Amino acid sequence: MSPAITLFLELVAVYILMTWALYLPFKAGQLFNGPVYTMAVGGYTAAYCVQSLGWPLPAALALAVVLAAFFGFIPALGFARTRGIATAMGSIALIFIVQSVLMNLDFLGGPAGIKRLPRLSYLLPMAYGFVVVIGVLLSRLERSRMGRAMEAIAADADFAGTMGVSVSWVNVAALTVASAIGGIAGVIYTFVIRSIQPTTFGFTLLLYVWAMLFVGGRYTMWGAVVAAPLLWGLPQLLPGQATSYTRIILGCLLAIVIVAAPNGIISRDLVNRVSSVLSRAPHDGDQTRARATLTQREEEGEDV
Amino acid sequence: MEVFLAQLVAGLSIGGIYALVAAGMNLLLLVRNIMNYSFAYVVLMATYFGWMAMEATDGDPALGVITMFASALLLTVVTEPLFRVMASRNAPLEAVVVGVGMGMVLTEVMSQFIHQGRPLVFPSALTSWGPGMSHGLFVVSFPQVVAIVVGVLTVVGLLTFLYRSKQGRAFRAMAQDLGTARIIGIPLTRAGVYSFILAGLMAGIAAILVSSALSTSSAPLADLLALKATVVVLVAGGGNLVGGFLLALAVGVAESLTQAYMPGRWSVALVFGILMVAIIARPNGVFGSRS
Repeated sequence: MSPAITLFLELVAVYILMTWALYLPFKAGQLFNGPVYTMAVGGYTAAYCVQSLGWPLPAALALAVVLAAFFGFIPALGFARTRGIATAMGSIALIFIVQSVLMNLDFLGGPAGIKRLPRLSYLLPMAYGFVVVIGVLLSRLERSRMGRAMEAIAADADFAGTMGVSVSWVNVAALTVASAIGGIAGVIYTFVIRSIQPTTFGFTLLLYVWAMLFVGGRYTMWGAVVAAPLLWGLPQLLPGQATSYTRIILGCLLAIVIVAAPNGIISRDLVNRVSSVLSRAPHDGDQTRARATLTQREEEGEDV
Repeated sequence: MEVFLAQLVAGLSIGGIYALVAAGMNLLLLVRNIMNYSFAYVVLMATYFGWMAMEATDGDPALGVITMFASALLLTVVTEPLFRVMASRNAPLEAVVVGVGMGMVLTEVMSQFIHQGRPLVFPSALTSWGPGMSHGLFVVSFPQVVAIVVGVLTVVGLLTFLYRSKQGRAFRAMAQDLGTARIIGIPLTRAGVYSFILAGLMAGIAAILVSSALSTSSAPLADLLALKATVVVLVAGGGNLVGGFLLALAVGVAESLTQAYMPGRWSVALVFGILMVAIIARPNGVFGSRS
């Protein structure tokens, strides 16, 4: 594979992970932007451990994920009690705080960051390994007790609470796991670019991830898989002088999609339709028909 | 002591600007239940338009002021249909995302296409008119004093409007209960447009104060102003106008004093850190939410 394609695929994996990191709390109705700064935490931890302490990458990765989860967990204790706008804006303020702290920490290189990281040959398989593992876990979550609890909270947090769902515990768990995923994305990103600066983890990154979440479709996990290559790929195909318009296009696209197509490209209906087509294998055609008759009879009010 | 007083006045004038922006966002939060994150970017964009008008006409301050006022009003009202959709869908999170997206677009325009992205410096006809005061280290420009007075007057005027006029009562009814407001015959769409016009007027005043009291304007300033105003609104309690006003002044003063007496590069992180703790400790705001 040519280096350009490898780089593209690696960055797409990073953005898929980041979009999933925002998608997970959104299942519980929280727009938590924390993964953007835990991505910085993870990236800086791994870069510092590998560069200055000479650790092997797996050890650095483990510490990075733990630290990222920790830095997500502490504010998550507070965000478990806030909802909606307060969580969204509070986590944006945290992005700003972390960026400003990183600028001022001299042992992490200040505004210049950490440069000249070693080249790793196994990054691409590692990145997609994480995408597959986290993707499988997310799709398992959809049908699990926890996933249903999250959807109940998103629909009506007070009602979910009366039905026995521990709203604050589910929130803390979702936000912490999302932060850990952000940390993994940060480690991969840092070693793909082979340098890290505080300015990376700001509004531009947030805008990209939001665009992928909202354009792809924020009600299913498949939106990220479609939107990340699309939105990361399209600007690369633009002619050179148009690249300065990328963020303007993304901002407008975000507004247009939210107003005109609130469900994004991949809506939940689409996923259901595709999965019903896929699951209708020839041999269990009778079974499907039997199920259809059963539903019909239920709808007609017969006792079944 | 002189340094302290000068910093206090500078802080209060910055606080007056924060208060204006926060009041505009609070008004939209009350009437439409949306957080218009792009509001501060509109203010700064208006200062850019005013600067361009003054560049084109050899620094005529009157023209600059009129351009700022008109462009702020226009930019705010133009975005109303977008936020009306969010308000009618009852989608406050999506409104935040749309606001940040539009703020990003305005940032890009400011930082790439005007003055090669360098910070603007406004001509002295706008920034140092009137009797300045200077006594040793104590230097206060007249526009700074004007910013404090105008900031206070605008917020007092807004409160008077909300509590004394018929339209203001309609706004408060919408903040209380949208369904009931509709039943008793308040035209929701028209009232929503009015609230954006009112917010636009406040954005215009804020733009004039930014250009004259701070005498500079840049895209990073827009980021800071937007975030501070939003956090002030949230910490004071969404829709709480008096709380937002007091907190905005306090943040302005605190920032100005930390810049004078502490190693400056930590001041941003410190102010935001304190505000974050406040949000997490009191999710409904220090003074209580009214929205």
